[in-house]
Amino acid sequence: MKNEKELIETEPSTQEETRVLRSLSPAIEVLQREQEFEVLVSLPGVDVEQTSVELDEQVLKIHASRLNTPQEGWEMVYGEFESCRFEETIQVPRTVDQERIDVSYEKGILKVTLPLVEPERREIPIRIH
Amino acid sequence: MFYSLIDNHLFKELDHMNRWMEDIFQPGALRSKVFNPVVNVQRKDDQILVEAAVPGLNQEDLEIHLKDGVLVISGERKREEGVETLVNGIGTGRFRRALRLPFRVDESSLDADLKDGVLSIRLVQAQEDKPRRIEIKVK
Repeated sequence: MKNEKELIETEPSTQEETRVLRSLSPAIEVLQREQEFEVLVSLPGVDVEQTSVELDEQVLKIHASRLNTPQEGWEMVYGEFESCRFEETIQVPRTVDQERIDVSYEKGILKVTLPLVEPERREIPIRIH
Repeated sequence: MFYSLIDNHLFKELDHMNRWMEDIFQPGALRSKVFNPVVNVQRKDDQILVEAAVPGLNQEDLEIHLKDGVLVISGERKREEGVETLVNGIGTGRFRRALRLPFRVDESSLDADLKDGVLSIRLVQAQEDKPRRIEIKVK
């Protein structure tokens, strides 16, 4: 994950001053399966190299950026998704096995799989008074 | 002239109305968000590049139509069966985006690809629609 300064500099400078990219929260979908949660983050067209997922304690931090600058000679005549930075923080429940968290990027969706800890079976002796 | 590329206003209103009706009358609709892709349009001389953000969609979920100068991108983001959705921020369901193009296009030039959740459609202005230079004969 590049820091903010580097990100700004990767924007090709035009006649305009270089600008700080707008920060957005990406659209998210959370699915619950039998043994795992699945977090889908909508990040179409982002550069995977500039995407990071970190787990800090029980907080999942997602950073990504999309540089959608027209190629030379092309002019953006109408834009609904332009260059921006994405930031999202998701609190992970204690029941998630942090060692087995898996992250993949496919078809513009960042998928974070959060497997649940296998419940331990414990026999509790009954004390008879 | 370029601004004519934005969605046809009437379509948008009808679309809104349809979605509102669907939201009200479909069971479980209160938890559902309708998927609606955002679009970008770029232009270079006689070429147009339309990009639509369609994260998670496959080629078979998408349709592209071109008629009377209107490019229509439609499709469906399906809900996964048998799985409980706790947060539905991306949205599911059928969508339709209509874009009025600023010039007539050569339909055979239409070229589309899908990469990283972005559908890119390239179009070229039709020859007969380009301004012609007419030589003046001096007698």
